Amino acid sequence: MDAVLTVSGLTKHYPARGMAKGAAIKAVDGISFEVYPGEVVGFLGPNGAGKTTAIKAITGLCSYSGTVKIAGHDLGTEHNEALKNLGAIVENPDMYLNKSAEWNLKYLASVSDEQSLRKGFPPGEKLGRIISRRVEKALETVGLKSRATSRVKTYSLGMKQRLGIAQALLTEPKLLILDEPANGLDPDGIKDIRDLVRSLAAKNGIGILVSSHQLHEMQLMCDRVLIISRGKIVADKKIEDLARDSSGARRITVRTDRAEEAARFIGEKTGAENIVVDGGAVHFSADATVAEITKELVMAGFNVYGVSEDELSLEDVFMREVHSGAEEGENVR
Amino acid sequence: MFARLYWGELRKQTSKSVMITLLIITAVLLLLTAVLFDSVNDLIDSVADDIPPEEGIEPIRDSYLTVYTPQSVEQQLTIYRALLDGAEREKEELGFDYYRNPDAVYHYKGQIAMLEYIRDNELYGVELAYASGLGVSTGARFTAETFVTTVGTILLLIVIIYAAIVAGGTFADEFKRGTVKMLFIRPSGRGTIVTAKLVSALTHSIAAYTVMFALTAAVGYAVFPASGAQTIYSFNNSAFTVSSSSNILGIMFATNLIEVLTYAVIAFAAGALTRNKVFGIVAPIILIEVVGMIISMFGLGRFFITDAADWSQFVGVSNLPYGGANFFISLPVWIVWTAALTVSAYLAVINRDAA
Repeated sequence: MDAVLTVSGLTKHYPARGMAKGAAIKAVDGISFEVYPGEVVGFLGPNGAGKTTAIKAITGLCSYSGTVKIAGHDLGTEHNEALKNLGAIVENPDMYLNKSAEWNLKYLASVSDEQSLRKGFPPGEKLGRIISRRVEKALETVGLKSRATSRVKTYSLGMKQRLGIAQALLTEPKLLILDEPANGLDPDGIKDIRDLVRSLAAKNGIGILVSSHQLHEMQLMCDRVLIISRGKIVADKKIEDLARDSSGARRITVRTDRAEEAARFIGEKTGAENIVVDGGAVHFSADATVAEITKELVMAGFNVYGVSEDELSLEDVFMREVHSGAEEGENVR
Repeated sequence: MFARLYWGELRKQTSKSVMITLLIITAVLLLLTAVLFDSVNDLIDSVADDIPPEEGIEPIRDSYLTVYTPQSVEQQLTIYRALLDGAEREKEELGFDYYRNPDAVYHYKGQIAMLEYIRDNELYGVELAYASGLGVSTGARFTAETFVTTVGTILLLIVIIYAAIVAGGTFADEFKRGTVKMLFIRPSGRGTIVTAKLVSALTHSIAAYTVMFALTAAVGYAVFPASGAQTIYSFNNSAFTVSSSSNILGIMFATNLIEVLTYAVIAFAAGALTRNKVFGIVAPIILIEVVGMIISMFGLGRFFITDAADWSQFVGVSNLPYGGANFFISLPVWIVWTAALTVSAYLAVINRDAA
């Protein structure tokens, strides 16, 4: 399957004010990743890590070096073609607060290309009618149809976020980029956004890149996470692989009566690595499953009190990956 | 794509409250001026009625119209030629410093050209008015023409402020709201967006001035009599012609529109370059009034946009443009300035990071 977003060697440097002449802040430093259709990818990182700068570069809002391809179109050389496949919220959902949701979406349609608007409609259909139907559909998707004619300034934060997503969805893009979509929302609002994002990816096959600080929410919302720190991607993991160590092996803990002996046995039998004995517990990394290891130990005569795969949360992984490079110094060259 | 963008921008820039405010201001201005002018006319009529017509005394209502004779033309030609000689000598003595001042040579040449036109065409024994800038001398009483030209000058200031607000804010507001990001991630191309915004802001400026001017003309001709005086018009101290005094309104409309559009272009460029609405609005005033004055002190006024945008100074006689100026200098200067401002705004929007 072809990626809807391919980022290669994306770099964005800013001049470093107040520092030596020629010094530059490496806001984004040669990152590469891909997003596939139907995939929700979390884009995580601490403040100042380069998330929003990377998103601005990917959406064509700022200059960059490297390559960005959206649905196969190079943003640098086929700017408009690439943007035809993109819907995005960058930093905040931007809209005209004194106007209604319907007005905002119709105005946005006026700055969208006709070809994208006509996609999926019969050839002779009037453009005005197509726009009305698209606006209606987008509002329905985000659950704002009943407030379509209300001024946006009367909306709650969650409703504005949903209208932002409606704006991004108006031309049914292949790639959706959402920068902090759950920012400032209450738990119900966060769940609504999560359900909407999951549904858009599953039902419409849209590739979605979501940046957020809310690690637990990202763990629930995403299929995969990219962790960016100091302008570099330090981890690219599927959610189901969060518990695996840096080599990709599962981290497993066995509780048994003869821990030292069991550790040697596990090492010889399964090729496990990074074996650590902690009292009655043996921690190790292995490709074997919990069932296979349990079977081996029981057959070898060990009394097994428990075997479990370590459950690392996204927060654990985030802290480990981000802070492992914390002493590398300032991002200035 | 451009057409839809343009219409979208036009709708966005249309603010009902601003339009209602403009109409109220115009209506109040028209009402007050009409009442004032009508009272003055009544006063003149009452005074004129009190004076019985006598042989040799001109009726007061026509006292500002001139009736030329061959002798009066020759007499005035002699005076203006002498004044021109003096002005040319002064120009020679002052050298480059002459260009720091209003151009007396241009002024006297205009007067002489008009008198020669009267002589050559034997326009003797008839009451004549003459156009001067955006004014026309049509007699002591207020006529439809004097009403429109007087109110039109005040309306020009109001429309200039409106044009600066619309054009100066068209990009600055998008940056302030953050909506510029939403616009720039659409596949329209930044260049098309800039063009649509500029054309839309200019359309608003033209429409506002047209509506306000039309209302003024309608009230002027409804309340006051048309002068109908034969009026001498000239362009750039040449191309003299005689026609109805009401033609000044068309000239006024066209030349004022150039000024409105100039202010709008400067405001648009300043707003786009600085991303600041307040600066966008005040930039035309700073550039035209303050910088223009400073530039003219260095004798370069004729090459600056302030002088170049005021085409009314080349209509009729009695005008004093900056030293060395004439329409055929102002036109290219105006084109270069407006083009440079537009292009710089265009390039800034296209090339700078949007966020």
